[in-house]
Amino acid sequence: MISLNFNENDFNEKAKEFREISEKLNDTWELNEKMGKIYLVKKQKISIQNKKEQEVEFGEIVIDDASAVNSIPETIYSIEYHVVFHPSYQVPVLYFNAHSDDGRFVNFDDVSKIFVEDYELKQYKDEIYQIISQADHPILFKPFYMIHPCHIHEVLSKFPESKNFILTFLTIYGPSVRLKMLEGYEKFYMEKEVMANI
Amino acid sequence: MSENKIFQYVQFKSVVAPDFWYKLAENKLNIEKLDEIDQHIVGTYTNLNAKNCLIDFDCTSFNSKIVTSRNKFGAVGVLKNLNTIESFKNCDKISLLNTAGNQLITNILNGTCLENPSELASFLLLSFADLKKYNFYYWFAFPASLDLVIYEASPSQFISEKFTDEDIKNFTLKIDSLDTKQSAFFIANKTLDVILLKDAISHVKTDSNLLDFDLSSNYFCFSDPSESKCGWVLRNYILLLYLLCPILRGQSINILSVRQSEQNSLKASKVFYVTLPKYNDDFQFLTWTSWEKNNNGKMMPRIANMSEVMDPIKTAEHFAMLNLKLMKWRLLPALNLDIIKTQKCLLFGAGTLGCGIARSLMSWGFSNISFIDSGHVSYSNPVRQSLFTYADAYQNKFKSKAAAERLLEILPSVKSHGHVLTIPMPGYPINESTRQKTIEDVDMIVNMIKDSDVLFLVTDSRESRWLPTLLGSYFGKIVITTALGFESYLVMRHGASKSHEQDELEEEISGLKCIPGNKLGCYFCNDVTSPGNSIRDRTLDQQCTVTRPAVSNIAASISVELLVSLLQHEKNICAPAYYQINNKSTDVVESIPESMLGIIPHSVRGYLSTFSNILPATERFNQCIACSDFVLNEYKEHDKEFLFKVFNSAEYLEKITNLEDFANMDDDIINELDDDSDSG
Ligand SMILES: [Zn+2]
Repeated sequence: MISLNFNENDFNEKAKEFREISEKLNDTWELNEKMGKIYLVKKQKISIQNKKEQEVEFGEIVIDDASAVNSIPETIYSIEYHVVFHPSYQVPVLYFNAHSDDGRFVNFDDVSKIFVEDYELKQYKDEIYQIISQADHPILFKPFYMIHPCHIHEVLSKFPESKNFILTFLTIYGPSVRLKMLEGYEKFYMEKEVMANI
Repeated sequence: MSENKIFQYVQFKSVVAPDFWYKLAENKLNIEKLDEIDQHIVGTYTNLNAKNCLIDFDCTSFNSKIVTSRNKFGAVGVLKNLNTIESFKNCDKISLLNTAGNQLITNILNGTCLENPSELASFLLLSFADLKKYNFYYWFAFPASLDLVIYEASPSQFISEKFTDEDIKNFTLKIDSLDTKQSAFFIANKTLDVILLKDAISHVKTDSNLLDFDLSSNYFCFSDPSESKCGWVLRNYILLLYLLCPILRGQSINILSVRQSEQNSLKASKVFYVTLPKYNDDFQFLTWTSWEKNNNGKMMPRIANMSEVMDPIKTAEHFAMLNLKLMKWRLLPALNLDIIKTQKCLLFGAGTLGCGIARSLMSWGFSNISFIDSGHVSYSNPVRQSLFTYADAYQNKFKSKAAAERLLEILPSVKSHGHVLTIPMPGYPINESTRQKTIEDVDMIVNMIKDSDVLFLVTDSRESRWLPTLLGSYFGKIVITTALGFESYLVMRHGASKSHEQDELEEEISGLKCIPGNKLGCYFCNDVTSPGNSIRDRTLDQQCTVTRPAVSNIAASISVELLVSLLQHEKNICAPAYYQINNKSTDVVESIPESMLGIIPHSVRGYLSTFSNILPATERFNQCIACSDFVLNEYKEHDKEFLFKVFNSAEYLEKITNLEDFANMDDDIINELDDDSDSG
């Protein structure tokens, strides 16, 4: 049963459990620690086509190389997701940052563009900017994007049967920022339950 | 062999993390300075859920030891960070690539690559860091021999088509037990037992390498960062095999591309069958590829501008705008923040109102705010005038200068100037000794007004608002007047000038009278001197030297909000205003047409005694001493000659506007004061 009044200790415990399952699944969640506070981290890369790059005005070289695949130009975005227990909201909060392959952070106006295809963009923008903000990461004190935590407690309380509220939280909030949960997590808890009932 | 397809590799694509540039900049400033020495740096790539053949660089790239982990493999390279953009542009890229290629051959022939197979994933990074603009010019090269071409022998197969589940499962464990240096490139036999390169191949007696090797049942394995065709790293592996194992030349061999997916599965791994060429023994590998392509698919250098995060001024600007952007996205998608950002605001007066208005303008994202004021900061100012401190008073700074400096301290990206200027006033004669200076001052004021979009009239006397009112009207600028009484305030937008022609009629709404924007009055139209003006409220016109202290903040805030509402209206300065015709119906106020931010009144008069506002709208007065055609035409015809006549005698205005009951301003000084007057 989920405790509706979970605290930081519950978060730490569930985060460690989550991290262990991730390891078993060869998923890439990591558990980071700073000044006694822990948070979950996952890095992910996505590629987007047709983003025109601003070019320098010099130096083009042409090499005819029959052994190289002629790839379609793409921009790669690296996204880093953090799940942090928020000190004032007392709920898990999803923070993220993203940068393009040249090392520039994705700015606020463009952040929606990395999560959806162009044709979905308008509607998505309307939705995502309702919940997204930019704020200092409560542990790292660096600016991160965040999904605003004002309804998280209410939403989580609708899942009293949840085995791990971090998993439930990520299952609900992750997809809006292209963070999909592997099926293995749910399976892990289901199998655990089956074992317990034998 | 020639009818076979050339085997192709997917090129590496670099992914640079922001902290890579931080570290590069830090090293340049603190360690290398003006040296241009080659530095060894490292990159990493992964074969876990890999796509696009990516190679990562971050701050750990500068560490002497490669930070690798399971499924994360090292690549080794050289950074050439040049001192000037010219040397970056002009250095010989082909010869750099050839040097890197020759180094690779040396490393293969001397056994380095057998001992440390990661050396096969080699790269070169050419860069120039423009640390003034936070621009990083860079270009990665991933050397590979252009001369060595191999062919597809037969179609590729998934690992499960060749090996038993049991063997694959054990293979996973064996790979995991290896150092990633070794698991990047190795050999496996028919049951997927692992053989290290250094154990199978010698760089000394190459002719005897792999002599008793059954090519059909052994596999040359590599951890593949690419998901379909093989990744670039294989290309140098093939070069190694060609150079060190002459027996393979002209032969077909098996390549196992090892690809990991979740749940420790190797199911994406594939076996490729390729045929190596056989060149003459004295064949030289002389030509090399390849510089990385940019994101438009062109082989050319790239530039990363990091100013938004590395330049604290830009960062501050960004975060100042953030709340406005959130407001736009969440509540007001049509909100035009650009027009706000680009408006140039000129404040006549840097007292309580001027400070408050500037503060509110900044909070709305206005980025160009300048002041005209001739006074000094006095000891009574700082508690009420929100841009000043005790130190400003102690140093007796000019208010306009101190205010502009303070804005820059608050947000360095703001453009703000303080001008110490006295505004000439009607009825304040100019004598010969000050004439030249006054001419210059008027010219400056005219030029500044021409160069502005919005004027705020917040000086401490009514007469000093006359010249900017006239000029604002003449040049068609938005003018906002703000004035304070003891417990009351007036905020008014002046009507648009005649030059803003408006033909279309405004919508008729019963119970309301509509005044188009170009027919609205100015501060002086409602003047005590205007005959027949029955709605004038006397409270404001009493001479007050004191005001309830926070009333100025209220008035300043309303002034800025009125401007913002106006700027968001499609007709801008020409937005109409409405007032109620009769008092019978009390609901008509609700039928006043609204723009995005609600209604846009002509003026707001507020009373703190009842905490209420009224919203009078008045038409331009045809004989107004500041905005009527008489005055504007006179200015057009005679320019400063006219102005000086007025400065010397306010009665001249009465004459040209045919105002018989014009009261001499000298006799009837009516103060609608900024409480700046507490200082004098
Ligand atoms: Zn007027």
